[in-house]
Amino acid sequence: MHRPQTRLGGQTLAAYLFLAPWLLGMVTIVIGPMAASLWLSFTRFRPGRTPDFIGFSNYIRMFEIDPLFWTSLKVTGIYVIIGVPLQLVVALALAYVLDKGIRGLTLYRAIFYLPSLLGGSVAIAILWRQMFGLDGLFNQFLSIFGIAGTSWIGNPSTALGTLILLLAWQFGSPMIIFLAGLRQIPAELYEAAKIDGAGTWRQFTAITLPMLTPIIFFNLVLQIIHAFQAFSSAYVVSGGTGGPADSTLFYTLNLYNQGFHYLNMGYASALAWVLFVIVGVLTVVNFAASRYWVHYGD
Amino acid sequence: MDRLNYGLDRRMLLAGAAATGAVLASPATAQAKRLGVAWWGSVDRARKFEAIFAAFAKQRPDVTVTPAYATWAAYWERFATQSLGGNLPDVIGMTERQVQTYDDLLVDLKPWIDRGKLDLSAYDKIFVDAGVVNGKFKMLCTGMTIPSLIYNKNHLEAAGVEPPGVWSLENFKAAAIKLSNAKTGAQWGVNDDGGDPLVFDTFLRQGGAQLFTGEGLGFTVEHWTEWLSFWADLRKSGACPPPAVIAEMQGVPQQDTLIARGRVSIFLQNHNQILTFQRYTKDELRPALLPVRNGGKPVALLAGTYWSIPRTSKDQDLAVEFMNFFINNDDAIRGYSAELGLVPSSHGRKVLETHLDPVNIRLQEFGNSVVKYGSISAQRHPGALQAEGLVRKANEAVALGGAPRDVAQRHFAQARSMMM
Repeated sequence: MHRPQTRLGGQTLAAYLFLAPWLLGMVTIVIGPMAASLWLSFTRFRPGRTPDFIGFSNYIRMFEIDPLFWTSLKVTGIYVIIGVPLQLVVALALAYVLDKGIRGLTLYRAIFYLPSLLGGSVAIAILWRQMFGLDGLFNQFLSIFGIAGTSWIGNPSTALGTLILLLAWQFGSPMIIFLAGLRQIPAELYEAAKIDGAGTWRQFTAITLPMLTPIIFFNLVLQIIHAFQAFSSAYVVSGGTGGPADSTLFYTLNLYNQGFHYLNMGYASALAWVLFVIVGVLTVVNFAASRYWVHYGD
Repeated sequence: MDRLNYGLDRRMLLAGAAATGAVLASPATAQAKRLGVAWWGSVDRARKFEAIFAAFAKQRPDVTVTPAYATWAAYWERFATQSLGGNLPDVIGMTERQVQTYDDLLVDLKPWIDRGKLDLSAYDKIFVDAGVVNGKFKMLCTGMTIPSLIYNKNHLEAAGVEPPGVWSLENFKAAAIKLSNAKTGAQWGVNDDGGDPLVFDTFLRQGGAQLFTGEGLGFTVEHWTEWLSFWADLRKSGACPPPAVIAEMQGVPQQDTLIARGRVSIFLQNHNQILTFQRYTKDELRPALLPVRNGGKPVALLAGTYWSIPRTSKDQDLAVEFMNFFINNDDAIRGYSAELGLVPSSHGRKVLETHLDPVNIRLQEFGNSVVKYGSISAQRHPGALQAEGLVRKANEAVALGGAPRDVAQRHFAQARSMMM
């Protein structure tokens, strides 16, 4: 009786020992700072000063006084609502084409994945700035057709659009996942549908899309979280201001400015926790809604 | 065990220990000291500072200076993090904008002044006093820059516009329109600088007000309305770039600014920035005082660059020694010349009389000629860090069609709430 227990105890100990580095990291650089930021969110805190406990004042300020909170929430909301579906549509469309077994598939896959590797990095954001500026490539292209363009990043009505385009351009990661999902759909379903006279569009809507819903759901959840965290593209394209006229003031950019430019560290912590709750609630809602449209085929 | 022995056998261990012991025992390393110095600025400034560190190393060969520089915005972002982590470098760049915020972190330099370790005997009193924060000497002024009217001399000549002495706002507007309509090679007469806080502060001081005080705002809605209306008129006349272009210019490197690229003829910016802009244009750039409002008096706003020492510095004596070298050593003074603006000591200015190149001479002469209109920039309330951004936002809001009075009222209320 004792021997197996001892062995199990030894195995458990070994498991915890192997887990120890991760656990240590998790506690010291994730859970610890999160707990500290939760405490700081109830304080007025500037570097070099002791935090003063002010109760819910930061949260009240956010909802009742600070117009930038609502502006940044709106900007991020538009970015997520338009950008994520657009990105997923592009990803699915390309995955669908690649799944048709075209020649040089591996090469195309690698090329299409490249933007995701570069992603919303600073270098790409700088490139975006060069492309959509007044003297940028896009306007040079338009000038061929005699169209005088504007500064797409300097105009409040178009600046966010350029960032949404940048998000959609990073379709590589969901595309690869879609491609894997498409490969899992049994070929006999398409064969049966063909025999019954279903065309390509009918096959797509009646077989591909329903069979792919778990993958769509997975990508949707992941990309929504990712989009809420978008920062560097807006930071670089707007020169850190979130302009013009706050049109690219992402939630994270506002949070960053509050913390590191205006040194309202307590308020920035409160903003971070509200973002955490928003993303958490959205994810829960997504999971709850998934019952009605995601088919796991079981 | 075998693998352990393979990785670290006894012979290797002994050899390593002996080598480490030898290194630690050597006299040079035993006394080696590190001095962290951090500042903001261009690569050009960094080159000049590196030469000064080399000169300091000749005097103190046992000291290794570890430099860290970044752009203005990046410097303060890093500063915030380092201040929280307690790992700020030994000598740090500071200005009157941030000093009220970081006051508690900084060392009072008076004991070193009293002991003669920090020699300010050649300093003008105004520049010594500028470093006093809440009764303690927290910052050492190393230069004073002046928000100025920087003009392209070649463009003004091509347009037949007389170089500015001290322009009134009306003269300024007329010149900007004339420059816009003339064939100078520039697209616009003047950059839209209604959103520059230091330029706005100068305008306010011409009438006895100021942008910020230590307690809060130093101006009224009426001041702001007047300012925004002036720029709205100028914009309407076509003398300024459209708001989309100004928005696009936010955060661009200095070589891409409209003045460096010759796309505007007049640019309102700190006078020492000419050193950088001039590197990217063949045209001659010159400074002049900012135009004066009706009934106002000329003002040269003196915005300082300072060195401070954080309490966390482990070798504050060494940090002070470096600072003293920086402001009093002739090689060091020649090294930065007019890079940081007006040199605060009479000795420094004398050293530079026989040293400067033409661009530096122009800057130095300009600084010396307008210092009589000098008005030191105020040490600001911490809330000003955010409220300052509203000057740009308000100007942008009017450029995008907002009514100056409404915009001023709205932004003023926001600015006031940030001061609480």
